[in-house]
Amino acid sequence: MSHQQNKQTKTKTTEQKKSIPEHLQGMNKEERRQYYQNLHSKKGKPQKKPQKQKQQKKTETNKGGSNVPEHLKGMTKEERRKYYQKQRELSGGQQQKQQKQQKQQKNKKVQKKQAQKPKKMTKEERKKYYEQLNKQKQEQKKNWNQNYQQGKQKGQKSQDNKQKQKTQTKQKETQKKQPKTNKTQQLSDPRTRTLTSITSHISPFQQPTTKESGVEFSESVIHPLTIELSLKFSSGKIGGTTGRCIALLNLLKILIREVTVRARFSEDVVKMLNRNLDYLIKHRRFSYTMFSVIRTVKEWVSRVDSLEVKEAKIKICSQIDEFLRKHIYDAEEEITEIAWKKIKPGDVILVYANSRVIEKILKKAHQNEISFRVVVVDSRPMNEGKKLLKKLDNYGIKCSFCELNAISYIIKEVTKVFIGVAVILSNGSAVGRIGTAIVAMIAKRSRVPVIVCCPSFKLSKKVQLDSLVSNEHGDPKKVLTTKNSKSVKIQNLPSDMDVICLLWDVTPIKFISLVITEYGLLPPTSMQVLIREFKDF
Amino acid sequence: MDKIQSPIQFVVLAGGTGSRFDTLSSDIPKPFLPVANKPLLQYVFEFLCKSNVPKALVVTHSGLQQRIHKIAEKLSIEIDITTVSPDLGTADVLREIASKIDRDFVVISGDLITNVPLHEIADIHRVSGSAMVMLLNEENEENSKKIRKDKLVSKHFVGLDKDRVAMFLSSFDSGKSVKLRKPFLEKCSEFELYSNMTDGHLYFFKHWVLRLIEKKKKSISSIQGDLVPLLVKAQFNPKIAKRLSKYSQEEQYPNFKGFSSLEEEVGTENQQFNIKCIAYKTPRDLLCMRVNTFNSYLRANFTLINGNPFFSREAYRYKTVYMHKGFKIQEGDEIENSLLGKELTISGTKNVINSVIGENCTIGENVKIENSIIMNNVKIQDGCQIIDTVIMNSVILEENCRLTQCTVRINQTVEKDTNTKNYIFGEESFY
Repeated sequence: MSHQQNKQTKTKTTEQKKSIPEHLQGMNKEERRQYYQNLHSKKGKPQKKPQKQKQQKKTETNKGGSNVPEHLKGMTKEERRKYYQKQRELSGGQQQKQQKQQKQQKNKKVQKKQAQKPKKMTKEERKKYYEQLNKQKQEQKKNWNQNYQQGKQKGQKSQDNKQKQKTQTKQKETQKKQPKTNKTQQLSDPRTRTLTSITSHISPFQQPTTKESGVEFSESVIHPLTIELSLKFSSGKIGGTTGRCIALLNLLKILIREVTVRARFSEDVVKMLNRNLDYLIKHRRFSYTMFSVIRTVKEWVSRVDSLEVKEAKIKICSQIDEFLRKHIYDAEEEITEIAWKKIKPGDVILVYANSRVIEKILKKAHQNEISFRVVVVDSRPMNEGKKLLKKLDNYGIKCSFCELNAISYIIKEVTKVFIGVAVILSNGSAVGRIGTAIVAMIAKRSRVPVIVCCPSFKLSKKVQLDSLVSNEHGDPKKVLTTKNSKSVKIQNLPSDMDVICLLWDVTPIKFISLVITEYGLLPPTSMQVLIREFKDF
Repeated sequence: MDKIQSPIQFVVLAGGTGSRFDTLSSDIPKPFLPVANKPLLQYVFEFLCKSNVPKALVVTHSGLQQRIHKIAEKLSIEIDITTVSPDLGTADVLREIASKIDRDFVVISGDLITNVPLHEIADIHRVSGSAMVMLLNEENEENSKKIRKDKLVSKHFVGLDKDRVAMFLSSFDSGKSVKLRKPFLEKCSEFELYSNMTDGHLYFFKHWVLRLIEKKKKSISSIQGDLVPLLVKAQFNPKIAKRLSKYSQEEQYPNFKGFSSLEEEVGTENQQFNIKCIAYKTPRDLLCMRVNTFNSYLRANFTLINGNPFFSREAYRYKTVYMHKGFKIQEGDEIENSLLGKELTISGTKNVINSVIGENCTIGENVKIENSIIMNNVKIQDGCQIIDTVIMNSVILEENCRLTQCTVRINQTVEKDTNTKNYIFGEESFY
């Protein structure tokens, strides 16, 4: 203290001579100090300056002045020690409670709430409370009208306030939700609809048009026949696997005939083929047989470089003709010759959807004067059974018709089931039009033999355990509409709902009893042998 | 890469005389009649441009070639013009151009205004393998209001079996009644008969139809009158189908008969000859108008005032009014639903409702214009009232005229204080 006083005196000695008022020049320091103190105490002013001095004294007494927290500054060391001991003794929750209580005592709002809480009452107080309530109710009954209208006005005000709040919240919500609603709108548009997770790996259905590809009326690199074929494939006019193969092969013949070769034959032809086939694939995916056919034709093209252009073209066209004859037309004839003998008089034969081979079998059996009748089963989306029905009717065969939902009733009358197929896999199961698996399953359960007829070029080395692994989407409108009922529009469906329309399915080997190829009658377990031994391509 | 020619060729017939509205077409040749301040032919060219058609063959009278070239230069389309005498029918015209057509072709008449997606009709043509695809338009009662007397126009009775045209009779041949026979109805699965269908005169034909036209010179002279009914009858009549089978079964590629053996359809009779005629109905939102009568000309103007985004327009829009730079609308003006051309000056308060005004017009004060069409270089002086009239180029109307349902021909001056209805200025009426 003495040091500080000396410091203060040093600073003041320099300034003292300048700034001392006149009426105090005669006095010493101590006298001046007492004078000023008397002044302040007499007038009764708030004692700020002495308080400051007090605080300065306290900070001067405590050495660790700057590090003390605010709520503990008023205490001395010993008091602080006791405070911290208390906190160590208590657990963490109780510390927080104590802190909360201390804060609450400062807050005025909390004090109000505590005052509003119901206090515990004794019996007498409760009696008085309820007496007062009854009095109020009796008064309300007398003055109900006035109270009603008062309540109305209050209610309207509160409702107005609520509506304002609602609209405000709605505006905020819509501002937040707008990106989400766009997704739902995208879902409802059938073309951009993202399908469910099971079928999401299958590309969605595209309407058949030419505008998307940009090839319409101008000169192009793509042959007009490919454009025609692409529309026919995608619209379903040329439908079955053998039909599509035949159309493809004819197309390839014409394309190869009309190519102008500048450099090497194989390169130019392969480029030209790739352009046209890329265009075809966009509109509808190829089946397995079509891929294998294209592969073989490209192999032939690559082996023909040694010859001249004209001879090469002739050679390839003749090879394609031979393929058609050997694997498709002759094979179908041999199958019919083997298979029609399996039909015995009095048989009732069940047929599902359309197949070229089966139509020929039934025609031949009818020509050889066997009395039998046919049940044609049909289903959406493709409704191909009606085409078969019309043809069989023209040949003079007795037919009846039903849809897939009635098959469990019809199967009681049936003696044999003939099925056409798209691909036979190496594990013996068959990929066919959607619904064949159901037909085969029900036939197996009713102990009716299931006979699959297919030429050998439909055999493949692939294996597929599941119908969903590779499949194709069809037009969803065909699933939603039927002629007699009102159609459900895709736009009217709720946004969470998707329409799945698959075209192929796999019938497992246990439902098939016999496979007829041009090599003869075989059980389905020996398909692997056929592929290994007899397949050329 | 070798480019292969497109398999479809386009033919535009712009050689009509406009015989059904003499008054307008004798002064201005029909392909250049302004519809919403644009020449008629330009609509056809814009339609072809937007469908990405690179080339077209155009058939006109002599003397109009340069103006047609000008119209086509603005748009990105190549044109090959041939001149033909005005006496010929539409099929005779095709016979003369036959050397230039070597593929499937499309015939469009030059007075057609449409919005229709051409590629859809082309897809139908490709997929179905039909001999003919035609464009049909169903008319509502609203559109058939008539302000003028029309010369006789043939109505058609159209019978449709889903997409197929089962019947196409003109009212000249059959009168007001139509006979349907039972065996005919049994061949169709669904039959609907329409009397309010108009033919859009847009046909997709196969190449063998040209051969047919070339050989039968006497019996086929107009497409709508002779060719179309012939083809429609051949679908159900085996005798006619046999006669046409010479032409219809030519092979485009050697040893290749097409994919028709692979296609399987339910309900087709006469599978041997297999001629088909298919109709494409315009969807309800889209336009399809032919401008071959007075009333259709008025109707075309009034529907196109309100801007169709398919067709281009150089004007600015203010509510329902289309106008050019420099024209200001002030308070107190009543302008609704109208199209105003360049360099228009109207003095005083403006009162223009539901009308089309061309370029370079000067209009005076207190002039009321309603439901009317005014072409270029017209001067209208104060106090006129013009209702339901058509005023052609460079006309002067003096003060206080009142015209309702009139037409004023080129270079006429209408004197003061004329008050007329249903009169044609500048010519003795033919009616």
